[in-house]
Amino acid sequence: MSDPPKLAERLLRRLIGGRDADAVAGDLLETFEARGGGRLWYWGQALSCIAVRFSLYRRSLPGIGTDFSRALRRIRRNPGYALTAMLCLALALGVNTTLFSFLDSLYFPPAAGARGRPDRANRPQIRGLLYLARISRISRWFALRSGGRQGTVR
Amino acid sequence: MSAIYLGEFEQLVLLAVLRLGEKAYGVPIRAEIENRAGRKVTVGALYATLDRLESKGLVHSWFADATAQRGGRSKRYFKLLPAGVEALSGSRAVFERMWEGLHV
Repeated sequence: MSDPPKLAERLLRRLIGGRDADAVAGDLLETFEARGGGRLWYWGQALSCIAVRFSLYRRSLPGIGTDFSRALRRIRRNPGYALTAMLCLALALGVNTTLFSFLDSLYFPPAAGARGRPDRANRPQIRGLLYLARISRISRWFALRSGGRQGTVR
Repeated sequence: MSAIYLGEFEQLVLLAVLRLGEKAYGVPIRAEIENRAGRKVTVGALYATLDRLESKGLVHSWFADATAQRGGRSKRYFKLLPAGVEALSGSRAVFERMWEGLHV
């Protein structure tokens, strides 16, 4: 009778580790001897143990891994639905960005910092601050338009 | 406490552990399921299920001291806990209620 494949057992011990791997290797050896060999069988069983150990479905407790794998499975089973949802999201993002840029250029002149010192205004930090200032002014403008009369727009 | 739902394979594993009593470790559990249920079981699937049942508090496992029998590799024994017996009885009762009055 041939010996069980050493590499398979080494992989099992390395990837599963600890006493769990020892017990699994012992079970595999015992069955291997009882059935009178079968190196291919041993490899199949060892790989199944490793695959199950690293499977996302292994734990019944919910987690990010489970959610992610479930989402992937849904996408694979129903790609048309997934594609439609992705297109809708992409379209909504595009329309939102375009509309925001259009309103921004239509109603709001560049902020003071951007007018006199274009070199300074182009620095990433300054650009970020100016962007925040614009958003704040736009939200105040919408608040006033929708009926609020407190505060003034400068 | 709400009743614990057991899948079909989980029930088979728990029943095999119960039948084997003190001799319940990987190899005989697999053999018991294969002989009685006629179902091929991989070692990976069996240990994944046993780990899950242990995390649910239905079985308890421990490692026996290594012997020369398996080249010094230890055995991992399993024992049904009271919650496991209760879960099995609950599953059986569900099926009995579903089968009640049916003749096929």
